[in-house]
Amino acid sequence: MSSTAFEQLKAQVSAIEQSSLAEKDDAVFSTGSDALDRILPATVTSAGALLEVLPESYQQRSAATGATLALGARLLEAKTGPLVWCQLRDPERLHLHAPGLAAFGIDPERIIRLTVKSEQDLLWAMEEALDCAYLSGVVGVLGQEKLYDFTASRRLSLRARSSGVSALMLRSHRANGTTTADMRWMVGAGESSKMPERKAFLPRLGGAIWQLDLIKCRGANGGSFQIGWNRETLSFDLASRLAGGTSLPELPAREDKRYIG
Amino acid sequence: MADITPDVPFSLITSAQGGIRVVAMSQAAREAGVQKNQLLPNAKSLCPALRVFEYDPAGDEAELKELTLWAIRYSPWVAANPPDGIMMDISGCAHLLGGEENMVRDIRTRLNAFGFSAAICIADTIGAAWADSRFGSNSAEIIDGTDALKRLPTAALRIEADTVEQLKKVGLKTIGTIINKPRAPLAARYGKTLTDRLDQLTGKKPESLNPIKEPPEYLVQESFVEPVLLLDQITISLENLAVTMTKKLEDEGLGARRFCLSLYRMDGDVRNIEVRTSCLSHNADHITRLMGEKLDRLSENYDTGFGIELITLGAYFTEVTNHAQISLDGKKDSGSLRDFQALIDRYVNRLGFENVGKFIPRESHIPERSEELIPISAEEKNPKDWPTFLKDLQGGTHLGRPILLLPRPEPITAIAEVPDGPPVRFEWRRLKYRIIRAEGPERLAPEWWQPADIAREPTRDYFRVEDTDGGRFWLFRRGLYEQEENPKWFMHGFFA
Repeated sequence: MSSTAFEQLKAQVSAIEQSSLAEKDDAVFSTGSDALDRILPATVTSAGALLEVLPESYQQRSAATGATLALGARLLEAKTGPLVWCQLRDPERLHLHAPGLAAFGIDPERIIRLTVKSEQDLLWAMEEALDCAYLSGVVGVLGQEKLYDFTASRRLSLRARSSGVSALMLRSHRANGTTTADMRWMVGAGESSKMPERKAFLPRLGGAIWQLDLIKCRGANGGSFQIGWNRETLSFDLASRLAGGTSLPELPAREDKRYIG
Repeated sequence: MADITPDVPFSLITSAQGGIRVVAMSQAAREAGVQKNQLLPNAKSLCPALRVFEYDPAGDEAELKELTLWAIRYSPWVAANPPDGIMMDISGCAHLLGGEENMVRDIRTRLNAFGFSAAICIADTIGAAWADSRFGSNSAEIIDGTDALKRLPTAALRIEADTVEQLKKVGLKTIGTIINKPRAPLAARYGKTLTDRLDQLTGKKPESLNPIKEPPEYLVQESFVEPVLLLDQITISLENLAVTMTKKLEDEGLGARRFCLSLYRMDGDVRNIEVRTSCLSHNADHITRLMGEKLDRLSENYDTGFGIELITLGAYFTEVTNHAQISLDGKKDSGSLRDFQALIDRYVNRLGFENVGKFIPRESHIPERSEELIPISAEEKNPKDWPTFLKDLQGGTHLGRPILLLPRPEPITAIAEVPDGPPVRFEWRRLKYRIIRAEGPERLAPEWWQPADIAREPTRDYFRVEDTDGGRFWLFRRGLYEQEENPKWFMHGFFA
């Protein structure tokens, strides 16, 4: 096959892939970072995508939750409706802390938290939510995956496409098998960015840095990046830009203790 | 009791004054001479074949309640009349079954099929129906006026046995002898209850019954010629009922907040399925969908048995609605708030209202008490302003709050700098962590106005730490090294 014919074929395929999104060309959410947006094709960042986030290991769950919340914050920015957060009922499970969400840059008032008994209910709740175009997005937190497979993800994808509501799936680090997700992130925590040194026993913490592996991305190659989250501008930052430290608030020189009560 | 047939004499017994006495008996036993309140040995001597069973008042009451609920199929105003009666207000209901005679026949046939024998009476007042069903001849089922009641004993007036005795002493044995007497002397001698009961019998004094289940404001029903065995068929009928119902509501400009679907099984079992909506609804699709989800769940552990013969759909809490707002260009806008409310309704009905929550801030600095998850339908008084709340919560510090919190703080073993330094190593859930960065402490103490047990909790010094893998944790030390023997360390939250 000649190279021109091959090019033509490629163009055709991409045209087919894009066609379903053509009518919603205005509804594209961005990551807030130009550098990252250039890497991610429009197919995955368009409204109505299914995105998956996996922690690198069991200990990295909070980093993966953070990345999911960051994506959720971008979705909330793009629309006015609330975000539905579905999680399984488990007394031992970590739960969202509303003041923490506020500190992260998300208005807790716009979160609707569902507690479901089973994975079946969770998938049902997500499907229902994806039919409601009023919502900004839907997040599902999976535990042990028994039902979430290709068919289940296909159902979610199709509904998301038709309503333009994006779905985020926070999966376990053991997740495997094929799904129809438009993009899959593997997230691990990285050492936080450098802070001005001070004479103390231990140095201070900087902004969160996540090691992001793009292990699946429709219409683009995978890659590996270090990204940070800026809670002031609600945008992702590639670590290289963050290294300048411009986006971090100035810290008071001295620790001031607070006594309450 | 399976081998009991109508021709076997049997009775119910209970321990009473003077020994074991008969409480109730079957027709065959009655014919053999067994009477109520008879001592069991006497009864046995009259009828050697008599079989006896323990009287179970609680079981009777439960059974009566079940039957009363079943009777709602004939009229929404039904009340149990313990120990052995059911009262129904059938005003405007009889024509649905083709007249009062047909209604009595229908009730009798069905009760007999369940194995009950019943005395049924339709009358103008509650008192008259009560009297005739218990003391009248069974042939007269529908009575008009009070003439038929005149020859009944005075006990048919629902009065105390003492009063009956007193009346008997002066020769007043039937209702007819006192019904036209002046009321004042009767009341003076026998109490006001007697005259009240007389007036209730004739209808001079109103009396109403207290329905067992709140009657719906609107009700539509469909009865099946052939009992339905599959719930799928019920779903189809439900759609029709919902359409009829919503049309009715819409015509009157109403919407309802609660709907109840009742399935009447052949054997008298009644199953109610209730759905609530967050806003006034007269949308048939919405109701069908909410009900359909509940029906699906029901199908997992519900046996239709010999089939369902009747379904009813009732609407409760109706109110005048404003008509659906249509935008100026004539299109109903998609992705509207209305869709969202419908979604929330489906969640609430399937998952339970307590599982569909929203966050509200609470006045406390202790992390686990600073937020609350409340049902989404709950009204809150103060509009919340999270950024201000967070600022207030954190005060001058910049340590932030974690995105994830453990349901309750978990103890960890930690090595820390004394007196108030951050830990350098700790072990949590059998994994070891080494700290390379730390910030803190942020001191949080319970508010003095809290109840004593909370207010006396030791203060907490929170630290934000990062381990060698980049994991970021929120730890605290409970108590102070200067004040207590051994302050303990806890894991409480996780940063992104």
